[in-house]
Amino acid sequence: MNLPQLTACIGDSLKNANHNLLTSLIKRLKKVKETETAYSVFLIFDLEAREIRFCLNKELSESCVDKYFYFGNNSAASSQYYLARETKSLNYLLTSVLSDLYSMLGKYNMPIGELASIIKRMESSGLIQLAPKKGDGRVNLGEFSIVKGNDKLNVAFDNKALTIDGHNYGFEAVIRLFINDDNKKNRYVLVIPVVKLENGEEIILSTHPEYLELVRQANNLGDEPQTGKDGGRVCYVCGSKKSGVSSDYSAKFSRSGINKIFTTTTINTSPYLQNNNYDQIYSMCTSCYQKILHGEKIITEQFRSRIAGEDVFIIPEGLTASFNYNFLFRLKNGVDLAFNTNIANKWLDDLEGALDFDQVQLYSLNFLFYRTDGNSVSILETIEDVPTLRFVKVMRILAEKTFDMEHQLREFSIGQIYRIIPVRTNKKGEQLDIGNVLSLYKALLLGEQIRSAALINYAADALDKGMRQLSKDKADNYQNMGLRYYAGGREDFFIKRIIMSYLVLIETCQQLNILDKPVFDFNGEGANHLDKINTASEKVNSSIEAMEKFLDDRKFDKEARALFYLGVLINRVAIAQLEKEHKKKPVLKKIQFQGMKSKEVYRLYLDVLEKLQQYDRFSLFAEAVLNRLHYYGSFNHTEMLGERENVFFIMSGYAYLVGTKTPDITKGEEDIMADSIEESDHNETPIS
Amino acid sequence: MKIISFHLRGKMAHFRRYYANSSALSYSIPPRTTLIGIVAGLLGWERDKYYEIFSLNSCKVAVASCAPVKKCMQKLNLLMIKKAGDLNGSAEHHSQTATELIIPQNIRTGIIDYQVWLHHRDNKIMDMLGKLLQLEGRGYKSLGISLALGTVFNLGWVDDGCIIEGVEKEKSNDLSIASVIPVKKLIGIQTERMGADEYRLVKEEIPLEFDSQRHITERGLGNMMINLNSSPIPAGVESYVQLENGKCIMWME
Repeated sequence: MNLPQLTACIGDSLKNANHNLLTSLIKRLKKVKETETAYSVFLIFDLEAREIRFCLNKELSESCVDKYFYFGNNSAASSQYYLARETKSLNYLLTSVLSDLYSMLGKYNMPIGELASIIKRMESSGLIQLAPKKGDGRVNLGEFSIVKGNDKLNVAFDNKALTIDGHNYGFEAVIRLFINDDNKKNRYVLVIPVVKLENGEEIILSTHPEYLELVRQANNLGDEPQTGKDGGRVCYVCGSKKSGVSSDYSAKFSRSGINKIFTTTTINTSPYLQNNNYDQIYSMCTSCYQKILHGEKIITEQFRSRIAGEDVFIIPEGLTASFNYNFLFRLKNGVDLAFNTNIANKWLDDLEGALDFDQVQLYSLNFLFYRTDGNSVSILETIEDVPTLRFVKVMRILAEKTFDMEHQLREFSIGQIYRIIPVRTNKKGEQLDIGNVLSLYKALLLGEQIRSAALINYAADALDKGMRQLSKDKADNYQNMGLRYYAGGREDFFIKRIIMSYLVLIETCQQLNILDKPVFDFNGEGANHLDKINTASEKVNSSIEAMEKFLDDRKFDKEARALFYLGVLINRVAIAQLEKEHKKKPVLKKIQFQGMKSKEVYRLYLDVLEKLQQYDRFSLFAEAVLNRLHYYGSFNHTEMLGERENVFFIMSGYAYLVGTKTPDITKGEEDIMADSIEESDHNETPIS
Repeated sequence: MKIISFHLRGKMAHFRRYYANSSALSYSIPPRTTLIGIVAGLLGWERDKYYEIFSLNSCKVAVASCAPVKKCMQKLNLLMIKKAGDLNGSAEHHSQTATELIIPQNIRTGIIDYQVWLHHRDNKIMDMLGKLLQLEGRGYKSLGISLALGTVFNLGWVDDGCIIEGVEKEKSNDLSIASVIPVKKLIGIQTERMGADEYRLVKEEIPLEFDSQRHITERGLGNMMINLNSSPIPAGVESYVQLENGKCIMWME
C-alpha cells in the first residue's frame, strides 16, 4: 500500500459534474436531531441604514454548504478569513474575519478589487474596525439593529456568548432575538455574511469571485506552474519532474485526516536535523496535492468507520491497474458490515448477492486504525494488503464453525472477537489494551502466527475479568464484553458465550494454520478401546453420546476431555446449589480463572464429589459422567496441560451444560431452571 | 556477470516509509536506497557521498525476504528533539511515537533474514566488497558503520557472503523468482502454481535512487511485488538473472 498514491487515486477518480477546485475544502455541517429543523441565516451589514442584523435565509439543505462555500474554520494559527461559519463559531465573524480577509486580499495582490473596496466602505460606515494585525479587527456590536439608538443598552462579547443589557445570550440565542423565534426546534446553524450596498443591492460575500480566488490561491489550488528552465524536481507521488514541487503543501492538510499520518514538516524529517531541506525527503506537485486533498475529503466522508470501538479507515485497493471507485465504496461497506454483523453466514449470503465475486478477487483491503484529538493523528495498527478472498475465507470458516456448534452458539462473526477479549478503559473512556484485539484481527487477516497459549490466556482472562465485574453491583469496566446484558444472575450465559466463541475462534485459527501448535488434535488413539456408554437409562446414554460427539467434532484430546467432564459435574452441582437458593453458586468460587495447577484441579474434583454427595446428586447421569472422566484422565498430578488450559477445558464442560436439562434433573431444579432455559432459547449475543 | 550475495539478518527491523512521520510506518523489505546505504557504510564511505556511485546504471541490487516476517506496532518513547542540542536528552518531555517494527513470525525463535544480490560495474568496488563480505567465520565485517536494519536500534549482521555467477536473460513466462519483482517488469503471476498458505503477496512502492543532491530521480521510485512468506513467486517476467545455483532473481529498477 502506498497511502499518498492511493489517496490521490481516490481523489482523482471521484470528480463529479459539480467538482471544482474548492470542492475539496468544503466541509459538512453537523446534523441536527430528527425532530429539529436547521436553517441558515444572513448576517447583513447594511451600508445604507448603517446597521447590522441577522435575517432568516432558508431551511438548510445538503447543498447549502456548496452554495455558500462553507469551509469550516481556518486551521491552527492562520488568519481567520473564511466567511461562512457555523453558528457556534460566530465569534470569529464578530471579531477578525473581515479584517483578516482584508489583509489577506492585500497579501495576495487584490487590495484594490471590488471586495476590498466593499470592506473599506463597511469600515467607513462604522460597521467594522479593520486592524493591521491578524486577529485584531472586530465588528461594531453597537451597530446591531436591536441595540442601535438605545444608548442605555450595553453590548459585551466573549468567545462563547454576548451580554446584552446584563443578560447572557449564546450565539444561537442572539440570532433568535433578531428573528423573534422562541421555538427551540428551529436551529440556526449556518451564518453567511451579506453586505447591503447603498443602492440596495445585496452581495453574499462568501460567493464573491475575488473571495473564491483568494481561497484558491491561499490553498494552492491554482493552476500548476509551468516547468521552468531548471526542469523542476521530481514529485514523490506521481514520479514526474515538475515545477512547484514542494513539501509546503503538507501543512495544508486536515489535522485529523488521513494525510496527517504521513505529511508534516518537522525537524525529524529534515536531513541532519537542520530544520530545512524537507523537500529532499518528501515533496509533491500542485496537481498531486490537489488530488490528495480531495482524496482526503472523500476518505474522511466515505471510507471511515469504527471497528472494535476505534476509528478506522477501510481503504480497498485494486491489485491491477483498473480502478473502479463505486466498487471500492461497495467493498468498503461490505467489510464494514462484516464487522458489525453478528452472523457471519448471513453476511456471506448478502455479499454474494451484492458483489460480483469475479471482481472481488482483484482487490485487497487496507485497514488503518487511528486516534485523533483534532490536532494530530496517531496510528494504532495497520492491516495492509489483505486479499479480499482471504477476508471472505476467514468469514466463511467462522460461519462454518459457528454452524457446527449447533445450539451451543448461535451467532459469531469477525466483529464479535472484540466482544470476547477483555479491554480495559480509563476514566476518559480510552481503551487501554485494544492492541490485543487489533493484533488478533491482523493475524487472522494476514495469516500471521498466533500462540495458541495466547488465545487460551485471553479466554481465561475474559472469564476472570467478566465474572469479577458481574459479581459487583454494577459493572464499571470491560464493557466491550457486553456485561450489562448478563447482570442479575445470568453469568452462566456469559460463560457459555465466551467459551463457545473461543472454541469457534481457536478452531478457525487452527484451520487457517496460524497457530504455533494445535489446540485440538486428538487422533482417536485409545478411543476405540472405550466401550459405548450403556446404562439402564436411554436418556443418560444419549446425553453422554451427545457430549462425546461434541468432543469428537472438536477433537479434544484425552486430558481436555477429562477436564470437560469435570466441568459438566461442576455445572450439575451448581444447578443443585441454585435449588438450595445459593444464588451465587458457591461451587464457581472454587475455580481460579487465572489458572489452576493439576494439584488444584484434583482438589476441585474431590470437592465436586463431596458436593454431589452432599446434595444427593450421585445419580446415574453423574455416574456416567464420572465413568467418562475416569476413562480419559485420573488427575494424578501430571502437568499435561497448562494452568489456564485446565481452566478453559473445565469451563468448556460447564458451558456445554448451561441452558440444557440434564437427564437427572429434579422437579425443583427444573422449576428453578425454567426461566434460564427459556432465556437460552432466545439467547443472542449482545451487540454494542 | 559476477554477483555478490549476502544475507542481512537481525531480530527486528524498521525501514521508515518516506511519507510516514507522526506514525512511523515501515516497508516490509529494505528499499534499494537503504541497501546501498548499508553497503556504502560497510565500505566506510561518508554519508550522502555515494549516491551517484551506486546509481541504477552502475549498480544492480536484488533482495528477497528469506524468512517469514510480520509487522507490529509499538509505541517508542523517543527523545523530544526540537534542536540538535536536545539530543543529549535534556528536553523535559519525550515523544511517544507509534512505530511499525518488522519482526519474525515467532520472535522467540526466529530471525529476520534478507538475502541481497549486488552487482557493480566497477570491479574495484566488487573486489572490496567481496573481500569484506567473504570473511570466514564471525567478525566485524565493516570498515565503517555498525550494521543496522533500518534504524540504529535494530542491529543486524551480515552472513553467508559469497560470489556467484549470473546471466541476464530476456522474457520468460514460466519462472520461480526468488527475489522481489519490479511490477513494471511483471507479465503475470501464475496463481495456479501457488500453494494456498505459502504466499503473502504485497505490493510496495520503494525508493530506488537519489541523485548527487539526494533528490529522488524520475526513475527513483518503483513498485515491487513481495512475498512475505519467503517462497519464490511463480511468475512471467520481461527480464531476469539466472544464477549458477539455478535461482532466478530480478534487479530492483
